[in-house]
Amino acid sequence: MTEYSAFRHLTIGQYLPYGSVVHRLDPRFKILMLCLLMAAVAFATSYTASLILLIALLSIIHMSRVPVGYALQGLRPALPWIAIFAALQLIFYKGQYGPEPCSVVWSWGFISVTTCSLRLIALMVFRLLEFMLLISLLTLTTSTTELTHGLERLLSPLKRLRFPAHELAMVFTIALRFAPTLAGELERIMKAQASRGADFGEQGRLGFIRRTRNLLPLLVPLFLSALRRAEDLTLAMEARGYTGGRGRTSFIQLKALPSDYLALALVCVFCAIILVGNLESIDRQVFTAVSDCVRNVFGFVRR
Amino acid sequence: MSDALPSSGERTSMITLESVYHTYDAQKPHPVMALRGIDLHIEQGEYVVLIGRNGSGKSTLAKHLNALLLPSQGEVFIKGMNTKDPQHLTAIRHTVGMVFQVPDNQIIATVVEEDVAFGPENMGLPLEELRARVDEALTVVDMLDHRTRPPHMLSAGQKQRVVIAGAIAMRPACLVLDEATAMLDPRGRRDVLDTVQQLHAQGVTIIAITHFMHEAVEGSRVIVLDQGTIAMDGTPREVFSQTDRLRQLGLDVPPVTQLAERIHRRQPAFPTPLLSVEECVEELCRLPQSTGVGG
Amino acid sequence: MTPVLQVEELHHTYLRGTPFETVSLRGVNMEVHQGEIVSIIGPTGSGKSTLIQHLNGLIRPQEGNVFVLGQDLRDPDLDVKGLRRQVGMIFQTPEQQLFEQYVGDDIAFGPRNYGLDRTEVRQRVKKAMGMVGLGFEEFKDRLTFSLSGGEMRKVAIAGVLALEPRILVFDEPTCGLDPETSSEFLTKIKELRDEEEATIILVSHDMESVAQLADRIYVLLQGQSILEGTSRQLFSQAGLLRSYGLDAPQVGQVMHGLRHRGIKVRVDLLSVSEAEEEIGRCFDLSQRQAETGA
Repeated sequence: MTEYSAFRHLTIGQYLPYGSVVHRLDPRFKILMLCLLMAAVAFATSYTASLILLIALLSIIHMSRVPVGYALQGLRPALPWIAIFAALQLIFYKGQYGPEPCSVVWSWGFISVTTCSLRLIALMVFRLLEFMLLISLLTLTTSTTELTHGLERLLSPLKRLRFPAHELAMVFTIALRFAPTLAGELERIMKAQASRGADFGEQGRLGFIRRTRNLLPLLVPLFLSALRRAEDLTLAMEARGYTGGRGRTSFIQLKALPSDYLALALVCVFCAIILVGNLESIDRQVFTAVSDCVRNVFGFVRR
Repeated sequence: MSDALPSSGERTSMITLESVYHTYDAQKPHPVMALRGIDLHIEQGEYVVLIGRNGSGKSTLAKHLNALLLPSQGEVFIKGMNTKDPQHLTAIRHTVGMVFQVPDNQIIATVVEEDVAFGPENMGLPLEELRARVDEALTVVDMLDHRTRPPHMLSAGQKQRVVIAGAIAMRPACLVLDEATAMLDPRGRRDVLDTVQQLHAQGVTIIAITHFMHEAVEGSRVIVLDQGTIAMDGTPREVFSQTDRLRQLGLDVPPVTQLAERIHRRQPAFPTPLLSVEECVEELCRLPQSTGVGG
Repeated sequence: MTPVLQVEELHHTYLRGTPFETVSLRGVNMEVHQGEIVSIIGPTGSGKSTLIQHLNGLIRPQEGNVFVLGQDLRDPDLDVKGLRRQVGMIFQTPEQQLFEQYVGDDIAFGPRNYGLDRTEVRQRVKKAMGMVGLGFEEFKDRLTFSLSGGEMRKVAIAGVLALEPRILVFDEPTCGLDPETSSEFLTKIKELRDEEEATIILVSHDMESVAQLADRIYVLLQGQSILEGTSRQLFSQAGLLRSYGLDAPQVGQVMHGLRHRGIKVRVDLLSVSEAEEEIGRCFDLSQRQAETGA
């Protein structure tokens, strides 16, 4: 049975106001830290780096008082896709990856699994999970207001280059403001059309073309409603003296505290280590240690 | 914000409309003349209710009051400032605030207090002033407790009160409400009307556009529009006493007024028109009772 | 005679098991018979919307029972699509659901969804347009979005009437309409019951119109049906209604005011005419007192 009301409660990265240390960081700094950590995640090429990053992220989540389980739950819909992608890579990737030469671990016909492909998918899976955790971390601990203001402040120096930072932030705010409203509207329209006998896949398998055509009774009213709202909103904004970004003051003030600078500095150092440090050597050392250990255990068992 | 000096004696009122005509789609095959020669003066401190059936031009008239629309012919003066003069635009929008029908489509920000701050932000006020105005406005509409809530979690009546707060945070001399209660349930409607009465008591000039007859009694002056012209203009009592004329104009008086009129027809000493339940009960109790009915 | 609609101890909680859980219905009971006009009134948040969405299967009963035209809505094999043909639902501001370019096409959407042939569809559209007062030839090829608000709403209603449902549910049919159009709509709703023998359920805030139309009224508060009765029974309890944030029609308020002053008038009156009669009965309107003068 179609659960129509789920739409209404679907928020972009639900904000949970727990008021932790992480929550209280200045949003501009949080956005900068996000960018740095994203770079670190993207360029980490060793198991050690990936593992350190994962542990670091999970600890930050723990610090933010958001239940780790809840944060991980958000990753669940993506898992099947990751699994499929990983399986494909595993089967078909034949090239070189990583500092060590590839050796085949298992093969069957044209399918071969090498140490290189294993390394590739392991790091890829880590990377994807970490990206998602990072974004969740930002949206779970930062309200949409903070995000838009932080973004606008960060981009405002670009105004000198004619970059429409204020307009962009306003567009972003209005979009976020109306997302739940339009979701509710979509729900209402679906119910109204369903009440006239329209099929939205409740009855299961419909052809792809048929299903797309069935979207017209949803999309047209929704689109028209959005247009109507835009018209009304324009009038309301004009009536309240809006004439663009010039001359406006701001109700929201962002004040950078020493703790923000400290946090940023720590993240910088951390990312530097990840990117520049020779963590592959740690990989190698760990591997040799582990394989020695395994060999000893087998030897012991055989005896 | 300085007042422009009036060039003639008549323009000292808050709002003046001189022979205002407005045509929509003038260049298209089917132009619609929504306003046909409106002459109107509204003084500071009045509470005017503008009534008319659909298509009478009430909404069009409202939009002339803050220069959202300009007259095709004629002039509109707000505190002596001509709406056609672009230099006065900002001052005019600071003098006349407006609240529209659909609450949702007037709220921009993701948080109540930020939305209320929108108008003052546009005025370029400093931070302390912004904060003061937001607090003041939210207190007047009794939404201070909800200041950090997102708009989609408020009821329609609450949303509309937030919109009103956003308008009065600009401290306008006049507030126009364009069918602001049409989408609300009785509770929400009552809350909004009470807030408006409060504002009126504080000296704000109120112009309320509505098609609910029972809201006409809220004001001190009722103007009835019909096909773009002013058909009636007087106190609620004066207007309500002309029930036949009202019916011709597609309007009807509230049930209590209808009742009073019918009783008046049977007993001419019974006063009419009566505007409220309380008045009616009061007057009825003055009548002698039939024998056989206890007291 | 068995009721066409029966709701027994209906409970509903939205988003059960999530941090956003909200209880909407806490044991609602309702019964509607063929040909009745039943009104559901209550403040915002009382659960009216949730209740009526059960009636055509948009929401399935979580706890409690709902029987519509003999069908059990808890049955997992329920033909929901078929049910929606028999229970026509008209939401608030229904003109917002219009999507076809031409009026006739939009009204035909419903019948087409049920696979009716072209002649039948045409007949239904014609009949439905007649019922709402839109001339078939005049309006069928008009551009949907060029109509006035009231006309668009009529198109939306016709779209549901074209399914020829036995039960009609209206959610705030006169919301946002001016008094003239409002009056017209209410008359048409009555005609639907009188001439088409439809059973009608009306959710409304407008006490005056509810008083005129409804045979019986259910008052919903915080997810429970706390009061039920004929309109006369209900509106004679103005004090109780006010404590629930609802108002009796003005006429009723006047009669109660008189009662309060000790005058023994009937309070279960619904219209201006009835009130006039009762006042004529209880007061001497013929005598001209010297004090009150002419």
